Amino acid sequence: MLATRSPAEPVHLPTALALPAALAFLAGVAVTAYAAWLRGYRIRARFETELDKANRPRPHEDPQESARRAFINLAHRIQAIVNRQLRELRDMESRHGADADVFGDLLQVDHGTALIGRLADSLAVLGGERPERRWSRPIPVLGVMRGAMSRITEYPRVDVGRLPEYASIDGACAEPLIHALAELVDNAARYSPPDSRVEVAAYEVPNGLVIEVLDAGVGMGPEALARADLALRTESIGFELSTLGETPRLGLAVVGKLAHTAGFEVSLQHSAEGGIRASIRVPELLLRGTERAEAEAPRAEQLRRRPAPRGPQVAEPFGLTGQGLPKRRRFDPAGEVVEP
Amino acid sequence: MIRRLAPPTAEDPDDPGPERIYVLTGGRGGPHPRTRLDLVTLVLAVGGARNTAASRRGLFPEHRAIIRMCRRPLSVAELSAYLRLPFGATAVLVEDLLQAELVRTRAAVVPAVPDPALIEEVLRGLQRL
Repeated sequence: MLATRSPAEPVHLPTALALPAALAFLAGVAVTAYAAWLRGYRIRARFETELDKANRPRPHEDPQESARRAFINLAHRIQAIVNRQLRELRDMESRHGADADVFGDLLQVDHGTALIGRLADSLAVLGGERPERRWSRPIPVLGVMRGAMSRITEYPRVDVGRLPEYASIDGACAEPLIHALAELVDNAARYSPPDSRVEVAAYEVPNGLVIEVLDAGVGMGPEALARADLALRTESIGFELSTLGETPRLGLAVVGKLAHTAGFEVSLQHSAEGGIRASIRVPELLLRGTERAEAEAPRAEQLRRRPAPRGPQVAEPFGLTGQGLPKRRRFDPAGEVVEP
Repeated sequence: MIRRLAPPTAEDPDDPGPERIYVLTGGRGGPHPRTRLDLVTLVLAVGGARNTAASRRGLFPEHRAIIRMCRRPLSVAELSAYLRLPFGATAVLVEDLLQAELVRTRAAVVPAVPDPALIEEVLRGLQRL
């Protein structure tokens, strides 16, 4: 006989809930699966659209535009590697500075890396990019010159002539100038006898600064000079490999582009000595003053950490304070012990 | 004539600037072995008529900084720290100045070590007490 449950008999809770729970679970699974499918579908759809967009030539875009972007992308990747390697090399040079052989080899690798860096920079500039590198402090004119020398093969042939010591270029604007100067100095060294010197000098003019590169080459014919000048002035030179021709014009095209975007003027003339005089006219806007102490490394705060002089110097009379204690002395950048 | 373009950027002490060390040393990794410069060699600027503005022309600011700092004898290691340059580069700059006769060097004074025989004699004397 079947026992009938009286209504008062408590229902076994798990049994009662099993069916709705299973239904709810199934519904949940279905909803989740549907949501996942929907999301996947959307992602797929978006991906396909993007792919389609990337493959389809844009109606408003020059067919060369994607090639240009690819070149710039490559240039940026090389620049990133070079910049990291230059930082690491600086650390290695500090670590191995006392071992002349290792240090000399590191300097050689450093030089090679800087040359690669300039090529990558040129590639980016020709692709229409403005140099992105910013320096965190104003760069003295000498720093600009030595920075440019750092990036050319024949830097030992370059002499630094007279220059205004206390003028600096704004750190955010120095990079195009350094790169342009490197191209001009490289041209000067390349097209002059290998045993001749190249001079870099600078002087102030009423509304700015002129940096000059003088070589002792045979000069250029009037036609070649006109062509070079044109290469400098043609702002429209884009990434058209067919128009760039051989290396010297490539360098000049880079200089022309940099001058146009950064706001300085470059000109080429015959010099009185027979070679070529390349001048960069830097507007006042890009200049910053430099503290005297800053121009003459090292900085004052470094020297204040100088330990007290030892040996016979200790016997020198100190000034005394009101309490009869020796006065503090510090070492200033001019090398004098000064009473504060 | 100099005016400011932008507020000064935050200075990063680790930013070495655009100049590379080989430009400063002319590619040399260290002084000539005959120059005999080491970390504790003391460098002293040569004063007087030789050290005139004319003789200092053509020197880099780093050279001039060495001359200024070496009015008192300073070791190459200390110079290297003040200039924030590796030892090899500092030594090359000092060598340039030596050749221009703008500085002279002297080996660090080694503290005099008493004769070992004397020390033994003293030891024996103490033990006898």
